[in-house]
Amino acid sequence: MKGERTMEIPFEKQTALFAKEVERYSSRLLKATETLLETEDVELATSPKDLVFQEDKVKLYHFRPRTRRTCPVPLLISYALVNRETMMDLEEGRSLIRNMLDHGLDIYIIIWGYPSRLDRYVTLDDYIDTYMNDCVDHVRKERGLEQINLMGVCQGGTFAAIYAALYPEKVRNLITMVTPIDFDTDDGLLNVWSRYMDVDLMVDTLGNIPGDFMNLGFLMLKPFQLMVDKYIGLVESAEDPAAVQNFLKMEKWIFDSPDQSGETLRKFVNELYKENRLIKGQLQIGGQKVDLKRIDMPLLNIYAEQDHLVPPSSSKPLAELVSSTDATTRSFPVGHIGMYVSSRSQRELAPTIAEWLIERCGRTTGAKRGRPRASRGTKRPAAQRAGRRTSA
Amino acid sequence: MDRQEQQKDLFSQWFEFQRSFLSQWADSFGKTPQPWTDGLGFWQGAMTPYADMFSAWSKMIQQTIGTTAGQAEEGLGRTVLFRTLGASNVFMVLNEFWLEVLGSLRELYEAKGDADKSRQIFERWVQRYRKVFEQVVGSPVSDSAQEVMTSWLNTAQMNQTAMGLIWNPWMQAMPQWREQAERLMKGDWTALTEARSLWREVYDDTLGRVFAAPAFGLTKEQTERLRRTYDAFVRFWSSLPVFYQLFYRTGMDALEKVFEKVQDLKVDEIRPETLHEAYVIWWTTNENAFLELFKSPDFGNAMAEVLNQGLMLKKRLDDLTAEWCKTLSIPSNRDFDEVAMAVQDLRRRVRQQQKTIEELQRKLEQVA
Repeated sequence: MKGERTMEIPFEKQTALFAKEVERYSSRLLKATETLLETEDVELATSPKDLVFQEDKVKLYHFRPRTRRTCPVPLLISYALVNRETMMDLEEGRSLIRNMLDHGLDIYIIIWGYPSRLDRYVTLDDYIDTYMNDCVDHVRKERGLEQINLMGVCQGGTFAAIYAALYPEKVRNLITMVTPIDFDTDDGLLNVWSRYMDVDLMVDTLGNIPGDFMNLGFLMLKPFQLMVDKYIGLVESAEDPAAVQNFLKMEKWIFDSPDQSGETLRKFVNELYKENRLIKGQLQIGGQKVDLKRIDMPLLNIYAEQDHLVPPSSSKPLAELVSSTDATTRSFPVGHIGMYVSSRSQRELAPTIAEWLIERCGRTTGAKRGRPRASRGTKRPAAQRAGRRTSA
Repeated sequence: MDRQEQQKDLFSQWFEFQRSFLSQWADSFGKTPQPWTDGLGFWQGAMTPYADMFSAWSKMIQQTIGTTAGQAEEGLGRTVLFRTLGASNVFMVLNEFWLEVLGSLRELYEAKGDADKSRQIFERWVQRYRKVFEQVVGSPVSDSAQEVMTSWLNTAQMNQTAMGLIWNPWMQAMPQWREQAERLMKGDWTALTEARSLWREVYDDTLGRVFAAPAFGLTKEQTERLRRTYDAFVRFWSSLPVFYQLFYRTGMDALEKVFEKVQDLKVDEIRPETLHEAYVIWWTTNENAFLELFKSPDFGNAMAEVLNQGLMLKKRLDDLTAEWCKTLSIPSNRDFDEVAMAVQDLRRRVRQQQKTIEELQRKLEQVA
């Protein structure tokens, strides 16, 4: 049948079709040019929020509610240091944050900022044991709670898991999303490449690692799609202003890459990517050994089935590494970025998180009364009630 | 043989090869009265004006838009436009490549059973395809691949003048480089890697030893620092070909797969039905091929080599700058780093003391 199909088209006609195709492409490119030149900038992360705490370059924001609160315990979100948290609030119709606010969740978010040359000696320990801990303490104090809900995304999920292992008494429920935990996998190119990288030489030479360098690495994961086809697709949809606007928003996010503090990246690559210390129980943060078994609070671990940055094999093992008796693993048939912006995740992700959290929030706020009671039907292990390390 | 003569010799051989190739190519026309090859012949004539049109159009659009965009204000739209134009260029050059392929189908048909002619046609496609690939990969090597080869010959020449004693290894390697240069110009990218290995071997035996040797006198330290920097530059520069050769080899392998897919798709003929269809086959095939490359230890090692040599070069340059800065009243990178470390240390101390104060206040309140 294939052969018949081609024979139906005479060569002359084929030539004319090719010419038409190029003509069509060129007219769309001109249209795209016009639209792009008219656009100076687009705005991301427009959900209203207030700055409630700041320490060095790290800022803590509180989102304004959009509806009646359904869970009395606030949710603190920790995003990755790589790229920006704006992806979670890309635009009105594609905003995980907005969707969660619409489900009545009370949301705080940590914005790590742009490390400058002055921050090259900020360590992974500073980020987790100081900045994150101080943000958690601020929310606890502001809301009069012993515990809050913690949600970590991507690298921020690794931070959240480490934090929950260090300070389980401060975390009521833990949610990790597209989070690398087991770094010893061949499924992700970042995992493979990191084995060859002399990160010590890199940090000693460059200080902070430029965001553009990191971005180049991410683009190289899918070079033809991300450096060629994506833009050809933009030309194809140039006559749809909304599609162009969407594209620009994604593009702005992708290239908005903060530099990485050198010392933080050194430890993250050497001790996590190369030595996989987190799941071996050999990682130390703030002088304390990180034992994932200390994560005994309810856990919701969400991963993307087609994730090329954090492969499922890196995310999935978390539930088996914690001592929580209430550990749920959920997956979505999307990629890493699709987890925030795909239409499916827009429909399903926020409700999944909200329902899971609301079930585990309890009716009381637990204000200054110790740990709130366990959620219905969940048997809490004895270890959870045992003495824990006190906060600094 | 001086540099000009070497170049003349090298390029005259290449020119001769091209001339005879073109002559054979021209002779092969007009021998195929087959009815359907007349149809194929149509492409030869019909495609050429279109190919020209694409080129002309592409240039015109780049210039027009480039000028307009150049005048536009800095901003996201302008930035994305330039990325889009880059991708469109790939698309256009790829289209021209397909037209080149279609245009030579008749020749290929005639060459049936003649391995040499078929190979020559394929080599021509490869030459053309290099343009496509240069658009994608960039051109740190491909643009200057021939220059690289010539530069190596230059290095040898420079060496002859300055250091007659260690000239022999370069001279001995020269015939091999010529042979490798010819292969490279015919599209055989493995020649670049072989040449690079040979170059590195000769360099290590000659100039490398000189740079590693201790210097004497009052300028000893400065001389050694300069030599280390030059050595780092040479090592970085010589690490690039292997890295890029992997890209080109993978790209060429992917091209073969693209042809196979197109043939599978169109049972009887090598012909994409639409340019976009051919383009989709092209990029998806390449994406998969490169994913496999990126997973391989060969790529990991080559990437590490380029990265490490590049970093080492930067480190050496920074060292040089820091030394020069010593004589001026401006801070060096090292000074900034010391300040950054002190600031971070202070931040930690202040935080710790704040927490201690808060703790003491709490205790005081409890006592009171």
